[in-house]
Amino acid sequence: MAGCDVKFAMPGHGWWIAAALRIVVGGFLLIAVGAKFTLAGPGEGGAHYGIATFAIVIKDHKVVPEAWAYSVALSSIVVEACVGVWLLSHVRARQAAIVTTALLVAFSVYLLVAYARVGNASCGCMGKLNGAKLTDALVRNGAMIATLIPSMIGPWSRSHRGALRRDTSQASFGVA
Amino acid sequence: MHTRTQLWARLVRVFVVASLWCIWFVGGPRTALAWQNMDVDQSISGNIPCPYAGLEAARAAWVYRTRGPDGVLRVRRSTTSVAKDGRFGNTEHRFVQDRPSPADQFPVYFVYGEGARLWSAYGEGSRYTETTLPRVLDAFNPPPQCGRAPWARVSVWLAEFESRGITPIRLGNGWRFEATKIGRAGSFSLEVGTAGEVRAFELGIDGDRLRWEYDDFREMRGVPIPHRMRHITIHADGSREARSGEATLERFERDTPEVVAALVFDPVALNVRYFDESTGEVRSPDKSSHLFTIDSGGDSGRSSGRWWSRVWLLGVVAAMGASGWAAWKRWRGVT
Repeated sequence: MAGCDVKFAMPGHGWWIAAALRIVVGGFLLIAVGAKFTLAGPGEGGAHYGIATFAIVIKDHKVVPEAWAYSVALSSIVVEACVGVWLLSHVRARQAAIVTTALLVAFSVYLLVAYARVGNASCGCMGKLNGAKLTDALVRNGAMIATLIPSMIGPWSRSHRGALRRDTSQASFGVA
Repeated sequence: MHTRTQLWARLVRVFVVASLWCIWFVGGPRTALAWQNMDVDQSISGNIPCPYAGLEAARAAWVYRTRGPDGVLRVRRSTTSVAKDGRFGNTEHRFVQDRPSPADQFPVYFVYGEGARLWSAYGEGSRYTETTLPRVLDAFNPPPQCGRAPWARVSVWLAEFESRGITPIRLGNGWRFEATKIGRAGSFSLEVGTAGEVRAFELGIDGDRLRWEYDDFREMRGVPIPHRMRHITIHADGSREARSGEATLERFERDTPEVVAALVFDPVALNVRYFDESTGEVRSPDKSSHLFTIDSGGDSGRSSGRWWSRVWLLGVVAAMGASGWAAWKRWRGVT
């Protein structure tokens, strides 16, 4: 259309960078989920694995009542997995980043409370992949939150279709 | 025709269902047979579970060399572990330097407890015993790797022992805790230094008392590591004798070649440190060290969780790749 100054703005490099960082964080969360299943430990009736062991770790942190430890372990793993998948899906990326950040903040608060109660104990967050302490996990959470910031910035979180829609509507105002 | 959102929603549902299935499949309690991902200790007896496979709080290992009367330099590796829930144990492995015969690295002994019970094994396991201890749960809590501060909490330990009816006996360099009601003929005692370090423990068996003494402690990242260990038998008449495992070594090598062949030892994974007598330094070996030339056999069996964790890892990598592909397509505006 002659005289029509419509720009079909592609998402910029910022969007791509934000997406790549989301993939990193999402993949890391999913790896952490799998790693928790490799936790093995002793139990009164024999060995236990996976969630049961992670529940023992949570119990040792003395943050939640012992009766809740298993439920907390299970739900945290499920939520972590769901958030990881959401990040990888790029669907509603900004909301995914915000929810993940909120989750990481919640985890960090938990870690701080645990640190205050039992000292720098083992985190258990990464199963047997490493023996990260609570402070290590806090630093890691901070790094992941920083990694998600680009996804929460408006222009960088805008998908192609969102950008297209927005620019088209702006263009319509510019057509004489 | 599915939209992309519907497709992703379906993928998410599949993933959640698969995750819940995995949780059910691998998350529940297992039997003691699952204790097969232990390293060398399983060679002693399949009936003895490894207490430190996953919830280990601290493991201080050290290696020292001794030259026997035959002039052969032998390397001994000892490991003391303290678990979060208060269980502790000790293993010792021996092998001949420059001749890493697997037969030379069998565990000489180990002693560990789980809650109210104490297992011990000596030599090739012929003196396997199981006894009942007064609960010492939390006596070693928090773990030593938490830093120096917890080791100042000896008073807490004392209270823990006292609360279980075990009166600490004040020694010149710490405290001694004796338990005689251990569910069998015998006794168990533990000596703890003023800094919280385990200085010695004894196990009464068949009228004798087997005593392990540690000294020359040096702190490594908050963990007091002893560099001297004596293994002593205190006979019923009070005489003391240094013990040796030579006879059991030969019998072990002869009778159980398949077990010997299965021995694995990964000093790096075990966080082995050794005291270099020539320099007086505590060092951490790498696999290229001439002291440690035996490759790790790694975990084995389904219970180790390795096969499915690899599958999971592959799946995650694939998902990341798919996500990257989708992002690239979206970035390029391809629908």
